[in-house]
Amino acid sequence: MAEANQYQILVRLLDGRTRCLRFSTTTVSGAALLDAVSALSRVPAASLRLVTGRLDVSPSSVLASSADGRFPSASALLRLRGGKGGFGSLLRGAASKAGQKKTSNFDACRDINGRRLRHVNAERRLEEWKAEAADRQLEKLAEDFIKKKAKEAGRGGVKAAEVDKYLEKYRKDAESCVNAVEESVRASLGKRKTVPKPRGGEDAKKLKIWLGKKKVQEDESDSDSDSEMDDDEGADTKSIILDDGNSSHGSKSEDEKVDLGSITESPSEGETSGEKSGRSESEENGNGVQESREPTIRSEGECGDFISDGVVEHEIGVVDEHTPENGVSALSEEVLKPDVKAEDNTASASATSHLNDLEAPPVEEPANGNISPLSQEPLDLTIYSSAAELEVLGMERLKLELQNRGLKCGGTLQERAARLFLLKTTPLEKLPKKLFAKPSGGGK
Amino acid sequence: EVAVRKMVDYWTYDSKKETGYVGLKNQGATCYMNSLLQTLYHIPYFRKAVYHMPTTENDMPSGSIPLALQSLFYKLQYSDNSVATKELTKSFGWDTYDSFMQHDVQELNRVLCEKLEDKMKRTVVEGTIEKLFEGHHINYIECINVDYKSNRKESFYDLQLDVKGCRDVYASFDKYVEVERLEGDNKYHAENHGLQDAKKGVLFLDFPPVLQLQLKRFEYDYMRDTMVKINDRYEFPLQLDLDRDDGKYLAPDADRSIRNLYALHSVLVHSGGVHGGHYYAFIRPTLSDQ
Repeated sequence: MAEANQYQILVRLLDGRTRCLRFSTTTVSGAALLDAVSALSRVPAASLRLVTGRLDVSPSSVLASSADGRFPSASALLRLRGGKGGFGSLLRGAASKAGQKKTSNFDACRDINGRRLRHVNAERRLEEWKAEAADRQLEKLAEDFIKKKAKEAGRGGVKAAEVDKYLEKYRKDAESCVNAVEESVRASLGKRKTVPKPRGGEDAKKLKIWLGKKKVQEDESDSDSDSEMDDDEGADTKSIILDDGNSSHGSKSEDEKVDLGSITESPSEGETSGEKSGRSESEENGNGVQESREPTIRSEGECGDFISDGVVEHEIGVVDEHTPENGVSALSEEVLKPDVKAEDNTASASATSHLNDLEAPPVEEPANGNISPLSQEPLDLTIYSSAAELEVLGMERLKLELQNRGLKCGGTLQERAARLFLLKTTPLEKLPKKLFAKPSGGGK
Repeated sequence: EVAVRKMVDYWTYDSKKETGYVGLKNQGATCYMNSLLQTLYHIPYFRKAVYHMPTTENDMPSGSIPLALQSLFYKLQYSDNSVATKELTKSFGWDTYDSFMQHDVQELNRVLCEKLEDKMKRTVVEGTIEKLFEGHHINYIECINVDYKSNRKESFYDLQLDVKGCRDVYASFDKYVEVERLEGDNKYHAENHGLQDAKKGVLFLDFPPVLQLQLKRFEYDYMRDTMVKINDRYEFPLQLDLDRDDGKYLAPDADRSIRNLYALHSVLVHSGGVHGGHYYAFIRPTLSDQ
């Protein structure tokens, strides 16, 4: 009888298996049964449905067991809810659609006072704009500051332009300096070529003696041709000096070259050029005087070298003894010169006679040399194709050639060569008058 | 799903001209109710029984389910337009909120039949629900280690068949009548013997004229702690023979002279998930089977 107190119910769970549930009372409430089945199957009671053969077990229902202690069997179920469609869907759809279509622009609406919101909002925005005026001013100041900086950058550009101009000037100056140096180097090289002649020493002595006389004459006459001749003599003296001391002599030669350049420029000008030429002549005379003194001293040194020779000794004696004796020697030379004049030139000009005197010593000593230049004269122009090739002949020979043709024989080596080369393509009659020696000067 | 002893012949429109039948309006979310009502309406025996239900003067007209149901069935039979179900839901005591609630159709079927059966008591149509839908089966328990047997006869209005792991309706029936063992912590308490290991099974004594089968297309996912719908393929033939294999579903003392062959009359279909969806029905109204 004690065992009979057990009351059982068979429940088919969701998976189809059957479980025995035991209760100690003859009646069981639906709630208790649902909780028991929920605990057993681990499904929430709210989701669970429990049905017997004929009835749905609800929390409020009551099950009664039969005499043998068994309850009706039950099955656990879930629900498949359905009800889609119908008027409800329209309501739900309308709600979502209405939400989507709602407008956010209420400008046409009126506020409590009756004014349209459009105007109320505009007034508020205007006040905000005024309040921000200070900020806008600050922004303007910032922009102005930035613009000023930009302008300064522009000024920097201007400075750069000035720098460019300076650079250009600098380059021009540099180029001119380079050109001057090149010219001086070329001139020095040309003169050195004449150096190897040792006999030139004697000629130099004679030339020195005559320099003094010519200088005096030049002061009186003021002729360009004379000034040119002086320059030539200076060059000769320099070349001799170079034999003794290269460095010092070189510097002197450069100075003279500069003078020569200035002389050549003056003839191109008119009367004013004549005045300038006079000034330059006076300067040159001063230079000549200095040169005459220095060479005399050096010539004494050279005489020492030639003591062994008898002829040389005689000459030295003449120079050392007395200056008046020098004058005597000059006279003797003058006697010799007329002969040469008669032979070489028919012209009676005193200037030309002086020139011939200068030429006499080299002619006398190398008789063969006299003949060879004459024979070479016509050949020179035909053979040479450019002025540069004529430069090889040397200063002296170019001078002789120009004199023979009645042209100016002064200037730099290049100038003389260029002047002579013109004859190759242009006859004497067509050459410009500038290039010819002045006959009036010669007459004087 | 609820399979009632009828079969869908063809898809029908809610149009009198096309089909000779009219539809029911959806109040909000009442398609489950509409599907059930259409199915019950097309059971002629049921419809006639409803027509013969008395509408006692004691009841309030607006609260009388029989009256509302009679009106609904009459309009379905003779109206040319779709019929509203507002009177019926009012008689149920539902308000607007209830109209918008989705429910399980089998649950509604149970509740509705229970109400109607109660209203039919002591009337000329008393016991109609039982006659149409009630069947009986035996739950038997047989202890293994002691000589003890227990048989209990129970009635049923519908059968809940498993879907998971079953290919068709016959497989579900096999599982339904399968013998289970009660052992371990699930022992059976036998009188005078205490807890015993036992075998438990179900066998059918008789089947109702209209057999309602509910397919259990639901399970609980313990990992995710939520319900899940089973959408596996499941086959059911136009004719269901429950006498197959020499009546293996029948109890030894069942009346085997009765032929248990059913024709498919209608199918209630659920479309959607466990928390919401749509119900519709396939009905074969041309069957003359009563």
